[in-house]
Amino acid sequence: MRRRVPAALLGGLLLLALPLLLGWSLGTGAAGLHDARALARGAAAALGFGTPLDSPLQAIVELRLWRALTTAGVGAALALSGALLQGLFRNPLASPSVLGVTSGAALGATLAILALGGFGPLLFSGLQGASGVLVTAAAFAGAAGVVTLVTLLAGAGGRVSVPALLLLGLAVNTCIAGVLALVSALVLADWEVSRAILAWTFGTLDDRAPQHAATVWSGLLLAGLMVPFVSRELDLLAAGEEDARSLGVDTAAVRRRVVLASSLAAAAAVAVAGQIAFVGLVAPHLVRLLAGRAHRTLLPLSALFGACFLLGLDTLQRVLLGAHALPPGVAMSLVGGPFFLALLLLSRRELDTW
Amino acid sequence: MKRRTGAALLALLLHACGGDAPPGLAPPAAPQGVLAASSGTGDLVCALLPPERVAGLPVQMRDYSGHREAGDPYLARPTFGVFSAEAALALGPDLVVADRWGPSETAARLTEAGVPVLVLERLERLADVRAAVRQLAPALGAEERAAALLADLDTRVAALHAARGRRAGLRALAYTNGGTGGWVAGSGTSADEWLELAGLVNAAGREGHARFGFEELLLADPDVLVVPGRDDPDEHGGTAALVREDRQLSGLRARRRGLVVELPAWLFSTNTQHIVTAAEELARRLDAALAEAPP
Amino acid sequence: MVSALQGTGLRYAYERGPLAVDGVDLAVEEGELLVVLGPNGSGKSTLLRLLAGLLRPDAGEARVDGVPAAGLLPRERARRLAVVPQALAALPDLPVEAFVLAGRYAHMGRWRGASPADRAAVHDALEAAEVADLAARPLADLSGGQRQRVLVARALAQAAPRLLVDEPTAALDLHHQLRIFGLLARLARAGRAVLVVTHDVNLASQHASRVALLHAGRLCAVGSPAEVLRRVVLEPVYGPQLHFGALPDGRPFVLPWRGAAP
Repeated sequence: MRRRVPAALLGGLLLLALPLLLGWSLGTGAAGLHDARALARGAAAALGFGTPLDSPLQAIVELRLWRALTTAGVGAALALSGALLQGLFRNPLASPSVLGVTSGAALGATLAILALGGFGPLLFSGLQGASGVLVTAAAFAGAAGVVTLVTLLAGAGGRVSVPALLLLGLAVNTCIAGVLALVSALVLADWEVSRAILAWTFGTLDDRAPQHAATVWSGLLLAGLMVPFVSRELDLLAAGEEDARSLGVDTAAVRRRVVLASSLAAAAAVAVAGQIAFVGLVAPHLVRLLAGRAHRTLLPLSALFGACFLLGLDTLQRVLLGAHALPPGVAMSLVGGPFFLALLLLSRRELDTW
Repeated sequence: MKRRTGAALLALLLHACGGDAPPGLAPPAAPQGVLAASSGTGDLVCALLPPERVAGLPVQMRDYSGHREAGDPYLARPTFGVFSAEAALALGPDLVVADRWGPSETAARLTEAGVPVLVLERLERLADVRAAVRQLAPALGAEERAAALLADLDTRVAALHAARGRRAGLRALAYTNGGTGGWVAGSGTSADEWLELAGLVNAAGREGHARFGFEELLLADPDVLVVPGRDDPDEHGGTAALVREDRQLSGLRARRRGLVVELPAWLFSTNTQHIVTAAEELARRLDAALAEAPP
Repeated sequence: MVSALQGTGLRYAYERGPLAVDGVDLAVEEGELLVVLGPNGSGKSTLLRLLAGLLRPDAGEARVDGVPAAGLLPRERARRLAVVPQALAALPDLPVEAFVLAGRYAHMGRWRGASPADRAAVHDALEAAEVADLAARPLADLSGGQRQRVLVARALAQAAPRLLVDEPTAALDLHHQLRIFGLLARLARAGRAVLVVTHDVNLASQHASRVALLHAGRLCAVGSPAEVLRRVVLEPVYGPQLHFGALPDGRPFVLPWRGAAP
């Protein structure tokens, strides 16, 4: 076996890195606000401690704070969702976007937006607070629906072959893209709804509010509650489903829990930030390479890594590109796409049909 | 008739010789059926020709042009959905007026079929509109109406200049936010022009259409925010609702003073002679808001 | 009296396939080593999985200690019976010791790690299967035979009173074949109910308390090795080219021999 980094060490490093990255993200924005003390004061005030800064500085610091927290949450949620799906399907190439889970969530959210005749940010403010819950719930239903469909179609016994999985994901993604395109075409006349739906395509981490951060972290923590109940079981599933059952694993229950947790996490992430691909693929894979595949450590470390990764990448590209910063979905595709390719090439030996 | 046949034969000959798309055909002296390829060109064509000489208009004009009222005679003219050579030819025009943003293949096919296509190179600012009107006048045989239109525009622009009043020098932003982040119209855009005509100063600080996050919005903190609205004054557009209700933007002075002005969407995005109309409508609404605003 | 393992009228067909098991009644008692013999494709493995509750029969019932096997919760069932599979669908990237520890799943609490009792069970299992020296090696590095013994060790760690073993000696050398069967026989004598599926007729003869012969999904014969391993019983199943003999202790042996019969 390759030399591995102890999980505790990796975890410690990531736990250290996260607040540093949060701080870095706080210091990046249109206003030339780099004074660490002011940022800290503003951040504390946002959370209810101490006196706020003068406006508009306070508002700006708050904007950055919620953005940073949301980004970290989205990264963690997508990575956790990916790690869970990879364990369930016993394949390192499963991820919420490859399998169509994120687009399923986007479809659910789109249909909800359509039904409400509204508009992303509005849904979280004031009067229509309930609509925010509706969109998230619809996103969850979409995500869960896709995972269930893929699980059923990919078959219950034995190891799921890579081509089957990828084909299914491709098919599902294509179908959903078609439906979304249809919906977009139908609502072309209603400019507002049209724009809102388009928003889901590339994802956005701009101008996030506390409600966004709360939504994604709630989804993440709820999904995280499931982790102790599936960690050992996912380890045992690695040798095959029937084998796991003979050892006493209730595979049907495990599948339900993993579907629930991964859909919840992915849906929460998509509901607040739109579709962001590849985080669910990259983060768990790197953790697996570094610290091994025992799910007890893989799942939490993936979440932590995902948070650092997305936050770091997003902040980096904002620093480098300034006003021309890319939507997060685009940035991740540019980085994740080549990574995915490299993954495929490197894992040739493990793939059934290469 | 002869001229058209001759032109068509010439086109066929050139095509048969394997040449590139034939050079633009000379438009007829006084075309009887003009087809406008887009809402923008539609606005211009309808301003210069009586309805019976308009062969076809895009269906989007129902929502995004100066001819939206029920009963407008131009609305009764034949329409097409997507601007394609087949759709255009089906309406039998003898001249097509298009802007630069249409597919070039369509123009090439139309020319090959013997229908001349007149392309308006730029339609962003009033200067472009004036140039376009001067270009169209001889082509459409509408010199009189063109002159009248230009004179009318000059009069209205002068009136706007004269009546700036309280609006003069106020900093403003033309801002939209469709749920994926904000956009602002910078210098060189049509929106920039109607802001200027209304006496306002564009606070965007950049060129063209640009992304504009909340942070930049808070920093810019304009006196006036102009956002696209719906037709029904009781219905509020999404951007308006966002700007007025989002907690994070509560520090904006435009919001506190009630100077978030909604401009009907078709005016917000117009790039034709209605830039002046947009400025007038903005001036009217802003004056009303200023009258009620706290000092 | 309730049998440790009991199948009544078991019938099973794989999707769109012929009947793999066709109306089999079979019981395994505590203290006995029952060996199921039969040619390839006779349904032996399927029968084992039915009895283990891993497959639901199309007709009939499989019971463990009188309780329907498929109806038990997986954890409960794992405490009562352990399965040694013929092969794994995928090879986990683990050292042998960790792999065998997985066999303790049904006994381990969710929140505690491995207890001293768990570790002791693993240690004993490794010793019994004679793979203690391989404890730290990764599974992927082992030979087929070593892996087979590790699978046995894992089932032993499970410490279940009923043991179902699928072709445990297919890849083993002569020495280990004897040792494993000897181990299984000892476990049976110590009180477990052990069912072994194999095509090795002679190992069955030497170690089994009873032998069952399966052919085309049907049970042809059940009895002591001496009763079943006779020409009149085996010839309809395996054909005439067999040579029968007796070992010094009186147990029969059977060899394929091209010189036998017309």
